[in-house]
Amino acid sequence: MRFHEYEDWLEREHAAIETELEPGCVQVGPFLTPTEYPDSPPWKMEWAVIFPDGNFFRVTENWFARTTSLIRRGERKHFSFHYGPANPLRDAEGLPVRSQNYPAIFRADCDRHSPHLHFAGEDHVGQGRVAGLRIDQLEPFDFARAILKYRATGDGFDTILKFKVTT
Amino acid sequence: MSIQRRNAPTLDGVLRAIAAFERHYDVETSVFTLNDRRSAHVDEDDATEWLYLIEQANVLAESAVGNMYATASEGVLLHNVPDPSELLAA
Repeated sequence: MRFHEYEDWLEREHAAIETELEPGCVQVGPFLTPTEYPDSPPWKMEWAVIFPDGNFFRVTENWFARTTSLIRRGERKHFSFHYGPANPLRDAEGLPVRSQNYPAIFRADCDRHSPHLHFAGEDHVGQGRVAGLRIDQLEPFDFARAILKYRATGDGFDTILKFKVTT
Repeated sequence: MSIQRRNAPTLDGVLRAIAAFERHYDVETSVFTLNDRRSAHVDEDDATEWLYLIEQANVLAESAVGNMYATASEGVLLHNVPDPSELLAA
């Protein structure tokens, strides 16, 4: 995917979900950060929604260059989708400052630990123990909608996203 | 609310951010590898941001001085890492 395609997709998906947000939410972003050329990787996306009860979600994606021959196309290499209590301390842009004092209630990551979940109080639940969900295929707006549904219904994330964790 | 485009970073800014991580964790980028026990204590989010900064530094340095800051193949950042001050002086 190229940067302008990603930007168009982000604009479209964000506009669609905005109408579904709870009243009183505070949005921070979405921020889209190119690196050098407007239409080349790497780029970064960051978006947070802070709910009136003090919880929030933040979705971050880092897109890297694919290969030398496809230098203008990016691939999503790392992402972090986080839901939990928000640190009242905010950075200059208004994003809650990361702190281990505010651990996640639910989180999906694709990072140096490879795809994994933070679920039901357990950290780093790897893909090998998760059936029914390809963690590395999870999209930020799917995660955001899962959070909205969780808040509206109280259903578990495993029910909402249709996955099972094995021991 | 519409998408906000942040300003693109400068090479100088990216290198300073990398240096800040190195100071904070007392781990050099040249030994910050995917499964290296020396980087095991690096916070998950910081590690992700660190790797992204390396990718940015690669692109910016390649463009700016025709050199690679590091080889960012899935976290293995070991080879031919020049001194950032040399890059900036070039």
